[in-house]
Formats: sequence, C-alpha cells, structure tokens
Amino acid sequence: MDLARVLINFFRVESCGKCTPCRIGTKRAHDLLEGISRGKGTLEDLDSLQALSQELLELSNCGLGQTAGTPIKDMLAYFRAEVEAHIRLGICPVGVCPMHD
Amino acid sequence: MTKLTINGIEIEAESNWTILKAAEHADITIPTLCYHKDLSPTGACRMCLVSVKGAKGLVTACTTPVSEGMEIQTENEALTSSRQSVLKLLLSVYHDKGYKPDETDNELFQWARHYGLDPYAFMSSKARYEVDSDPNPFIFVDMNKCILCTRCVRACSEIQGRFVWGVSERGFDSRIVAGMDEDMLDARCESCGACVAYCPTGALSLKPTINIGPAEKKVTTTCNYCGVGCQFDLNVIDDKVVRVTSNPAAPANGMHLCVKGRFGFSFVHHSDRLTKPLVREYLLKGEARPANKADRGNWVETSWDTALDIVADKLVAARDTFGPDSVGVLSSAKCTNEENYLMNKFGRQVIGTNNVDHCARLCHSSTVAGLATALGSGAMTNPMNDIYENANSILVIGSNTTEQHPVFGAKMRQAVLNRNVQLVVADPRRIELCEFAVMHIQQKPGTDIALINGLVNIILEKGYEDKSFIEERTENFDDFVENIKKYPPEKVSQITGVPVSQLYQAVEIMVKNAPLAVFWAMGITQHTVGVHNVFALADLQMVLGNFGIPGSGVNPLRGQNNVQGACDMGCLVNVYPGYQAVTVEAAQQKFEAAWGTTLSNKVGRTVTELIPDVIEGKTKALYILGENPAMTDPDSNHVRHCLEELDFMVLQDIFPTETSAYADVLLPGVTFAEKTGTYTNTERKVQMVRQAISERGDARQDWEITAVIAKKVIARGGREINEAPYSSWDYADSGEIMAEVAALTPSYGGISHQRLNAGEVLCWPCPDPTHPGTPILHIGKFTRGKGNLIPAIHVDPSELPDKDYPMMLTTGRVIYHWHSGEQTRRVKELLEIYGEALIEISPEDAAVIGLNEEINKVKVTSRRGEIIAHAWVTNRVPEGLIYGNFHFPESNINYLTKAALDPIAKIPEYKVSAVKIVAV
Repeated sequence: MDLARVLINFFRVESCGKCTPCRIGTKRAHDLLEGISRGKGTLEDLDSLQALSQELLELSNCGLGQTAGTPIKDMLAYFRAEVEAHIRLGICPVGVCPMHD
Repeated sequence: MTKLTINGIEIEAESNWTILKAAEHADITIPTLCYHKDLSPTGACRMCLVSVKGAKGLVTACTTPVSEGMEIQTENEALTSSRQSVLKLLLSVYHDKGYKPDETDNELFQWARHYGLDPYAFMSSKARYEVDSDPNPFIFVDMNKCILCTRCVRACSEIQGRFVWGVSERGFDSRIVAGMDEDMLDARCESCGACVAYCPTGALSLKPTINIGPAEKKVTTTCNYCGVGCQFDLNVIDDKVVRVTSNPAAPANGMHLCVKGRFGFSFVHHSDRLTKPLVREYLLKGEARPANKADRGNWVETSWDTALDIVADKLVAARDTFGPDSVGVLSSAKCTNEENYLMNKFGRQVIGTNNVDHCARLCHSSTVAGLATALGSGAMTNPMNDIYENANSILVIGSNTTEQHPVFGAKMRQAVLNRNVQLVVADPRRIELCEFAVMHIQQKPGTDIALINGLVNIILEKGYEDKSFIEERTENFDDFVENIKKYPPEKVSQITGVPVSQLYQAVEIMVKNAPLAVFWAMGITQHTVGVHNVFALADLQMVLGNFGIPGSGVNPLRGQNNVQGACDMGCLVNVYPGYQAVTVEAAQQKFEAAWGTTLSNKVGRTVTELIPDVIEGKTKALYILGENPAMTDPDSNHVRHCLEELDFMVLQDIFPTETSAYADVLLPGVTFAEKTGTYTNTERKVQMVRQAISERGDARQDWEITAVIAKKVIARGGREINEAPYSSWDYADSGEIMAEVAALTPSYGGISHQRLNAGEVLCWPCPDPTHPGTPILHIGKFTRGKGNLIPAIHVDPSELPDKDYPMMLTTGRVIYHWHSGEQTRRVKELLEIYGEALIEISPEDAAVIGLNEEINKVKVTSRRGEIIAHAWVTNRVPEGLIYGNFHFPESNINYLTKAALDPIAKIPEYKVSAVKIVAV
C-alpha cells in the first residue's frame, strides 16, 4: 500500500501535464491513496482506483502515464486484503501508514 | 489515395490525411477538444481516441495518419466510457464562478451532454485560481475553466505569431501563463483576441461583455476599419451590438481578427452619436452668416425635410451663381460602394462637376496613378493567401503592416514561421516586422526611388533580370536602363544611408528566392515623388518577371475598409466608376446617355486643391460624407482657416467631428452595423456589409440621404436632366444601386448582392454574372497590354532638416487607433491601452534634448505649427527622426505636416517634414 502511494507520487510529480488522464488521473489516484493512508479511505475509493488505473493505462499519451496505473492495479490484485484493512479496520497491517492527519 | 474503413464505411483518403480528416471527409464526427483545424494537432485531450484493428491500444484520430486497409471504430461502448472518463477528469478541475456565461460555444459542455453527463453535476466546487486575473481590458482570464487544451498557446504562436501564451509548471500544477508569468500586455500581447476565439471552454472570454449572455442573433458582416476586409459576426441583443465573434468562413481572415475589429465596435452606441439633423440657427432664421467666421452660431435640431431643403437651396445657389465647379463633393472610403457610387453620380449628374474626390487622395492616389500608368490597373495584384502560400520572398517597403493591416501582418509572420519565406523590410523605422525579417534596410525617409533603382542597377549588373519577360511583356526598356545607370550602388548608398554590401545582399535574397511579392503602403505613397516611388516598385517587379504568377506582384495595402471601392466607384476627379476617364469622349457619352444629362469633360479639383482654393473663391460649397479634413489633411492650421472662409458646408457623419465646427448643416448617417451594402477590400474582393441593428434615433441610411438631396436639387431645376435608363434616384434598397453599378462598370459587371449573399467570393474584374472573378491580375498580359518601364527619378523631399528645424518628422498611425480617431477614441478600452498621442524619439535625441523621468513631454514645432505631447523614447526611430500620429485632436501631428503635393497624384508629403523639438 505504501509502495503504491510512493510510486504514484513519483508519476504525479514526473507527469509533464500534457494529456488529461496523466495530468489529472495521477493526482486523483495519489489523493485517494493519501486518504487511505491517513485512515480516511472508503471501499468506493478502491473502485475509483481500479477505474483510474485502467484509464491511465488505456488513455495516456506516453509510457509514463500508461505505466502509472500499474502499481495500483497490482496493489489491488495482490494486496487487496492489506489495503482493505486500512479501510475496514482502520489499521496499517505493516505499521507504515500514519492512519491520521 | 489510401483506402480504409471507418465504422464499416469504405473511405478513400489522401495519404497525408489523419484519421480525423478522413472521418470529417465522410461526415463522421469524432469528438475533439484540443484539436482545431487551423492549429497544429497535439493529441493532448484524449477525446478523439478511436480503436484501430490490430493497433496496440487506442489511438488519437487527430494525430494518427491513415494507412492502407485501416479498420477504424469511432463509436462503441468502450470508447463512450473512455470519453466519459476524460470528460469527468476535465470537469473535476473545472470551476464556474457563476458569471453569466455564454454556453453556446462551450465545447466541453457540449461533449459532456452528448455523452450523457451533466457538466454542473461533475464540475469542481472549488476555485483554484483568481478569476479575472489579468488587467488586459479586452480579455477576461479565468483559469478555473481551463482544460489545458493549449489552443490559446497555439493560436497565439501559429495565428498571431506573438508567442504570448505558454504552459508553466508541470503535471497537475500545469497552467497557462502569459510570457514569464506576467500580465498579458507586458508579455507583448496585441489584444487580437485569437486566444479567445479558439478557447473551447470560456477560460478566455471577451471582457467588455463578459456578463451579457448569449446573443439573440448573429449577423455576418465586414469590418469597417482597414482594407484587409475581415468578416465576422455581430452579436446582437435587444437591437444592440454586444460583441464580435469570429466566423470561420470569412474569406480574408478566417477566425482571426485584430484588436480594433474584435473590440472596437462600441462606438456604434456611443452617446455622441448624431441622431437628429442639425442646422445652424442663422439658416433657420434666414439671416446672413455670423460675422465671426470662426463661429457659425448655434446648432438647432430640425426635421429632415427642413435640413435637406436648406442643403438643396444652398447647393443650387452655389452651382447656379458660381458654376458647377464651385461645388465640391467629398465622398468617404468608410462608406459602401453603393453610397460612393451615389456621391459620384450626385457630383457629376446633379451638380455637373467632376469635383468628386475622397481620402484616397491622401493615401493611395499615387499608387492608383502610378500603377494605372505602368500596368493599366491600379490595385493589388495578388491575394494575401496566395502570397502566403506561394511567395518565397517578400519585400515590405513603407508599410507597418503589423499595426496598419494587423491580420495581414500576422499572415506575413505566419509565412516566415511556417514557410521560411525570406522577409526583407525597408523602412526608416525599426517596425515590429523587422523581428521576423532576414534583413532590415533602414533608408532615410524620402529616398525610396534611389534605393529601388539601386537594387535594379545591381540586378542588371549581375544579369539577374528576367530577359524573356522584359522582351515579351514590357516596353521602354532602353530609356529605363539609361535612367538606372544614374544609380550606381555607391551613389545610392550616399543618398539612402544604406551600406553598399546590404544592397547586394538584398538583391541576392530577392532573386534567389523567387517569386518575390512586394508590399507597400503610405511610406511609399505620401511623398511629393509618390507616383515615381510606385513606378520604381513596378519596374523592379517587371525586371524580375514577378507578375501574373502566384506569390508575386505589386501589392499596395489600401488603408480604409472601402478605399478600393470608393476609387472603383469613381469618387476621383478624373474617372467615372471603373476608371473610365472623364476626358475620354466615349466614356462621357456613355454616362451622359445613362444619366440623361450633359457631363463635364474637365478633370475636377482634388480634396487637396478644393479646400485651399476656398481662399481664392474658387470653392464655395462642399458636400462632405464621412470625412474629417480638419484632422486628416496636412497643415491643419491652414485647412481650418480655409474651412472658416467656406460659404457653405453640409457634413454627413455619425459623430460631431473636428470638421463639424465648420459645417452649416450636420446630417446624421449610420454606422456599418446599421447598413447593408458592399465594401471592396484591398485584394479587390467585393464583400457584403449587412445591417444588424436599426438606425439610431432619426439617423438615416446614407444612400437615402444622398438620394433625397439629389431629388430636391433636381426638382429645383436649373440643370436639364432627361429621362434615361439610370437618370432616376428612386432606389428600393442598396441592392438596386449595385445593379446600376454593375450595368455601368465593366469590372463590376457580374457583381450583385444575390451572388455575394449566396456565398460567392468575387474579386473584380468580374465582367458578367457567370464570371468567377479575378484573384490574380496581369496573367499573361498586363491590363494596358505591355508593361511600361517608366524611369523613376529621385528628387529630394520638399522640406529637409536645416539649422532652424534640424529634425526630420514622419507620421502615421498606431495599432489601437484609426485615422482621426472619431471611432476608436469612443471605445474606452482602446483608450485604456493607448489614450494619448505619443511622439516617438530615439534615446540619443532624448538625451540631447534632456528628456528624463520628470521631464517627459516635448514641444514639436514646424514652420506651420506646434504641438505638445508625451514622448516615447524608443529604438523604433533612428537618431534624427521622430514619429507622430494624427489620432488625437489636441496633439494632431498634421499641425506640423506640409501640404507639398505630388505633381501628378496631388498627394501631400506627410512622410517628411522638418521640425525642431524641445523638452517641456
């Protein structure tokens, strides 16, 4: 979960801002992951993240935006339980996320 | 050709087309936001993604070229979903602060609704940026509505060539900024509004009417400022013009306009508008004129009938007492062809004089006379778009195109940027175009003939002349060469101040990059040698064989919106409509038969003669339509003195002007927004002007006023006018007048309101109703047969600096104002940017006379008058030269200019006078 947040932040910062999905999508994804890491996530956020990762992959102009969705997609595919723990239980199982503002 | 299928439909496309273009061709719409057909594609917004069989992922239709056998889907469920995603992302950063928007052209909203999204439901509730963040008086900036499509950035760089807008920061922080994130005007914005025209979301909008809402109707018409002839839509609400919007179908300009065209319309509703006929009190009381000639007494509002009866009585009295040639008719290059035709007919048929003239006398009379003699036709030979597409080099001499014909100036920049056209500017001032030129020749004012002859001398020396063109299409070569021999490069360099090496370089550029197109304006014409200046340029192009082919020719840029048309309509002292000379018996007989009366075969007196002749008693009465000689004619003090002495003046105009102080009757005409007719632009394109709003107050159509005066004068008798095909003054509308013009003017024979309203773009000569018009003149043969190589002879200007008046003065206009300023001084936003006359002076001279932060005004004195104005210290002018304009009455440069006339064209030498200047 924290790795996905760090990686999406990297793409957000590195986005050149030319195309819509990368410019706005990386920001939206980062905001959602930040929220989850601070204990403010909802299960709907996970649907939004799933959709955003797909949009980044399909709609972005260059490799950067197309890749930016991958960490989220993999996070949801392989670490869904860990992410849901942030939301359902209000804890970070690995003890990295602050879980508060 | 490339074969492909879109949505299962087989399409043949050019191989260099994009998918989007192929789809448009087959009437298939693909949604776009960042794309515009006038701008380079960028593929940023991702709305136009389509699926192509076999491709890895979706592709942007706007940037992907077609290829053989492509199978494309533009609509399916997945694409709808991806477009909805893009729209939601864009709307999530779109914030509407709530001012009353004109949503009709908001493309983001249109596409959102198209894909089932309510834009208001998805838009952001938070503003990220300050609203109205730029002080530019014309352009309202609200970056909360920006979707970073960068159409503004591309419009500014690719259309206007100004590079004001750019993108700052990156990623989510990307935003559009002017210059180095500064105010637009500081980033050298020219307020053309192209960015607004291309903005798809309202992030950039028209500030003067920001809260006014959508138009009730839009009327396509032609601009009333310069001779470019831009067309646009007047937006009307409640019988008022509220804004101007671009019309992509405009033939001369497309979406582009300049600051005056897009923003300079509010004068139409200014409270100064004349709305009732005004007559001096003494006339109503039947008394003699007041003894104080400087003051003709009080104005009294009266009925049209009373005012026009007085006009008719006075004109008849002058005609019958002092002869027809005591009356002068000054028509207007601001008015339509139809109105100008009637003024010509009024002077010649009703009064019986050829004293019919207008302000072309002051701008391009030397061009008309010079080119008519050399080539047989005194007009621009090639259309601007043709030159943009086909010229390989351009010489601009004596034209500050960026400021005086801004849309053509932008086209020249585009030619340089897009086609690497080699631009040579010859101008005593370092004008803006020099930034785009490969060479700036800075000749001394009044040495153009020496310069051009010097270039021709080098062309002949190097053997660069087009021998077969000279042989087949010109005459008089031997005499011409004799004269050219008198201008060897060293001597030319001495006269002009241009280094010899630069003369050689200029020739290389122009010869190696054929075809060359030559442009000029007042810098060539307004000299005592104006006609010879024009000869020299025509000679240059004949020697190089640059006639009758695309991208070439001689291209005088006409000043006023309809100065070409006013000349075409015979508002000149020596010709009937269509340049049929009054001295040629056949022409005289033709018009005598048409108008049913006897006509004079004596060439009339020009505006520059009619007014000074008042003093000698040769001019007794003037009928002036929409002109302002008290401001625009040289040596204003003398002009005003002459007008004081004039017996009777009737002035028909939209505002009280500087000249109305000398009028006895003031008749309220209408602006371009209130009339229907035609203007002929500098490219000889005849274009419709369409009435968008009703006449203000009791103002009447200008053609109707002239027609009523004509009928009243005819009714008073004293001049025999018989029944003839075109003797009558009964017209139902201006279209009927154009029909009469077509019947009597061979070059307009095929022009009618019907054809123009049907969308035809017609350049004269257009001799019959099936003729498509003639965009390029002199193909294969000159109008006069062979081109006449006339020796052009350098003569010094009539007044040069000396020890009493050591500085040289040259004059002109600035981009934000128009001539005597009657219209533009009544547009408050234009005054915000340029609110007073400034005298341009070089830093060197400024230091000599002691200008600094505190002392920044100058008093400029010539032998004829003096003015005081603020100085603008700038490198635009070289040492020893100052520059001033004639837009503001209190510091009108024409108090200083000299009424020295070209002997042939009678044009005054506005461009050179000697002055002295002190700081005050």
